[in-house]
Amino acid sequence: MNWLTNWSPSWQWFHRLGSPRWFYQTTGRWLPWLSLLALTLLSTGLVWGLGFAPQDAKQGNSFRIIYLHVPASFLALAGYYIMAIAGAIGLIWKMKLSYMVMKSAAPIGAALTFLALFTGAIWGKPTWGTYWVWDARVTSMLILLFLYLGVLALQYAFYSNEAGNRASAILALVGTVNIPIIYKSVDWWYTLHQPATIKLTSAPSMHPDMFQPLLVMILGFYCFYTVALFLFTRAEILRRERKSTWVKELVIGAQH
Amino acid sequence: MNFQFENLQQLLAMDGHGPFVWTAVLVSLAVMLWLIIKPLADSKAAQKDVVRDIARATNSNGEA
Repeated sequence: MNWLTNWSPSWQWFHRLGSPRWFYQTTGRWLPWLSLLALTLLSTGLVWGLGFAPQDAKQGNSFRIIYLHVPASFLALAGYYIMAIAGAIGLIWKMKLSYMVMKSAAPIGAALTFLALFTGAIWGKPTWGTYWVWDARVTSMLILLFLYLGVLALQYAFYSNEAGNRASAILALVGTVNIPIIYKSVDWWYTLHQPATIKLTSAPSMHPDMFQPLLVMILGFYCFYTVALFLFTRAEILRRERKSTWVKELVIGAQH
Repeated sequence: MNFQFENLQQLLAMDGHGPFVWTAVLVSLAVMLWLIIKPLADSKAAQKDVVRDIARATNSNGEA
């Protein structure tokens, strides 16, 4: 069995990654810098977008809502991948940290999806003349919100933690079917929603003066999302590992 | 790159779109603030539980 022991060093990172204690300590070192970066990017992007970007020729100043609407929608979708992948890793390798990440991603994703819908509704009023339309993009985003809430609710629907985690993970994985529908909804169906502003395969359809602050906001939202995910996961780690020696030592150490 | 408004009133009014834009900004900031405060409060509560458990364990040891 020599080959097995020879293999272990290359797998060490994977096991370390699965250790709640290692995650807690490492993210503790990263959080101050990441928070500072998020705050800087978000405040710069917001001031730039709201005050300095030129107004839109057709929509006037109402278009400035884009600086919140697009980043929130981006992360509402990206966060779903994170939740589903974390759930899949939990199902396959029975990694408890992975389930904690999945559980933490649900409230953040729900909040950001709500923001995407809310800012979209407020933008819709001056632009489309209505707060709400049952069109493909808006409706598929509403389904995304229900998927997030469903994953959250399943966590509390089972007496056993393990059963709740498995049910949540399966719902998260089945729900990924909705993600390409959201992306493609503006192309597949006749809709009021404008087509994607940013595509990986082509240049942005926006003027650089409008696009640059949007890029700063999107980067800021990515950093913010990571900070929030770390904070929620760390709270969950403390709650679940409260009987362990390292958490007791950590709490006693913090008191002195 | 220039500031697009003459004064604070114009920035707030945004040619009539102000109420829409600023509501979106305020609600977004409130939700994002909640996403930071909520896990920090949960962490604090969890740490309080640990302290209580330790105190309880040392008390019962003292009686025995």
